[in-house]
Amino acid sequence: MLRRTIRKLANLCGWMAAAFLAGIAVATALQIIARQFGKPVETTELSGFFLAAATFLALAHTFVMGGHVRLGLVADFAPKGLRRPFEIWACVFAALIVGYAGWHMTAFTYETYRFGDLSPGLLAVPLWIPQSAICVGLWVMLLSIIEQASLVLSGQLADYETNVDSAVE
Amino acid sequence: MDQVQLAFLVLALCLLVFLGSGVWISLSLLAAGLVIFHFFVPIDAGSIMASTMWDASWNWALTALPLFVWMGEILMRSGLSSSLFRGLSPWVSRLPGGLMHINVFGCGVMAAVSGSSAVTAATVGRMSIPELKARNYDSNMMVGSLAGSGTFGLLIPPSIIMIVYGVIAQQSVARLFIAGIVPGLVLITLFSAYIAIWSLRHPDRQGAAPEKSTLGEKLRASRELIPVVALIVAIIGSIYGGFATPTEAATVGIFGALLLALINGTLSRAMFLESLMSATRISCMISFIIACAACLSIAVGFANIPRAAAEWVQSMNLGPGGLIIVLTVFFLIMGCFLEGISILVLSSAVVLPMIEAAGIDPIWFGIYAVIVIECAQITPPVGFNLIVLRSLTGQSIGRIARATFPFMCLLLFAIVLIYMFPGLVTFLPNLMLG
Repeated sequence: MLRRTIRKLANLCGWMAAAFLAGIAVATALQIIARQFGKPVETTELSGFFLAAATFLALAHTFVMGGHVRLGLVADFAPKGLRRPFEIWACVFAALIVGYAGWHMTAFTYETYRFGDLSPGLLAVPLWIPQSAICVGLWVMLLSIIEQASLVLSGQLADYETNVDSAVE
Repeated sequence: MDQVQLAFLVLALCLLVFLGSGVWISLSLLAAGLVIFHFFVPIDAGSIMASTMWDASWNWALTALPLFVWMGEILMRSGLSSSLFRGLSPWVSRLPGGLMHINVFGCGVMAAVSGSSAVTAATVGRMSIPELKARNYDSNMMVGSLAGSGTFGLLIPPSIIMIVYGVIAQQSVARLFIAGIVPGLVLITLFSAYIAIWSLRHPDRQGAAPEKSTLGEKLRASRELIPVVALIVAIIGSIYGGFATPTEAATVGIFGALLLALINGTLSRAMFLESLMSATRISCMISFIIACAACLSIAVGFANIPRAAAEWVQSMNLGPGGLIIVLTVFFLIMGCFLEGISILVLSSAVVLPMIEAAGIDPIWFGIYAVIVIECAQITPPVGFNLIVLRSLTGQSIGRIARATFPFMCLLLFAIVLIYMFPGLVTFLPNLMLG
């Protein structure tokens, strides 16, 4: 039950990330069209925020779908009995690092909120808004790592071990 | 041993252990940065890491990356493979080596609209492998030329990896794109010449001779290529002419790719969403690696490693040539285990100061690095093009790698060429911006 909720949350964030990615294209298209009519519309800053949101909101979804690259060498060549300890180590390590990043990112975002930092461009957006997308992304990724780790611990194959996108690069 | 050397050793060891034990590459970089920060820098890492990660994640130059990835994903699903095959085959069928050249030219065309080598190899291979097999072409040569030519995706603009290099080395992505054109054409010529010479020397292993066609038929067949050629002109032309930034060119490219899919009748809601989600995952993976690598670079910088690396280069008196040889060996070894973008971001913090110290042009170095990374795409056991070819042909990685080896040598030869004639790289971008 809990696992299903986390899975849904990761997917929801993934869809939001996709919307932000498409948003970069739409914003840039608007900028091009407006220029044809001699109206200077500046969307580069907005595109940057969309990029940050797209990257971090997609983290958990990408993780579950096996999109984050890793070296499979040792784990692949290790004897069957050793594979599970390797997976558990990788998950614990990942959870600690992502937790650390999430914690400090949240503290950083709270600071920008308290100081009322605005973005440097014409938009002058309060920076904590795009930054909170990064925080949410990191925390949801932490949840997904824990969810996948629970799969590994119960002796099943983690979802992240099969990558759906063959064309990574 | 002084503090900096110790820091460097710890860094190398951390990366080896983290990456080797199967921790995700992005998180390994972040963790290695934290270790360096914790033991060698007298300030608290947390807030600097957070602000570095934030700064790296909304870099405007990076917005071209997800868009070009998306464009490639659309084109891969747009039924372009068969148009490329039908449009190109009447032109190459009379050359020695026959339809094998489709792999080279098809990848060249595909590379000019997509920024990734796996997309390039997969799109061309989907059509050319079954067709060449049916005509009894030599299977090793077919696989080798496809895996090799697929790497054009990295060098011929647009290119994902050049965007990454431009961002981390703070170079103009537009100039890098333009600088890749001539070396890309040189490689197409080299690969095609090799195929022709090979098939003249092995007449017994040639494929079935294709049917002759008249000029009119050829022209009619290549009408199918008009949309994709228009797309190439729109993208490269607008960047070269200075009408559009890479991000804007990519946006135009996405609409062009969607239009092309509409013409081919492959555009559907499912295909649209699939390409978008796939692009989201791929660009998430790459941008997150870049954000984590930014944290690593700042840690490495605080620990004074870049300065020490630059001093080391000067004290060794290697000269640019020696440094390039050392780096080539280093990149090739890394290429056996890592894919291109990771190699680039992993090494940049140390390598870029070295380049500066040796007085090497950063645009030239970018093109050089991309060609070396092309080699990395086809070195076993980890090479993305080998993996793509395995899924297309079902052959083993080892066999594909052996078949691709001659083409890797050609890539290394191209490095020698651009080293001896740096104008191949620098001429066009200098012409463009005075």
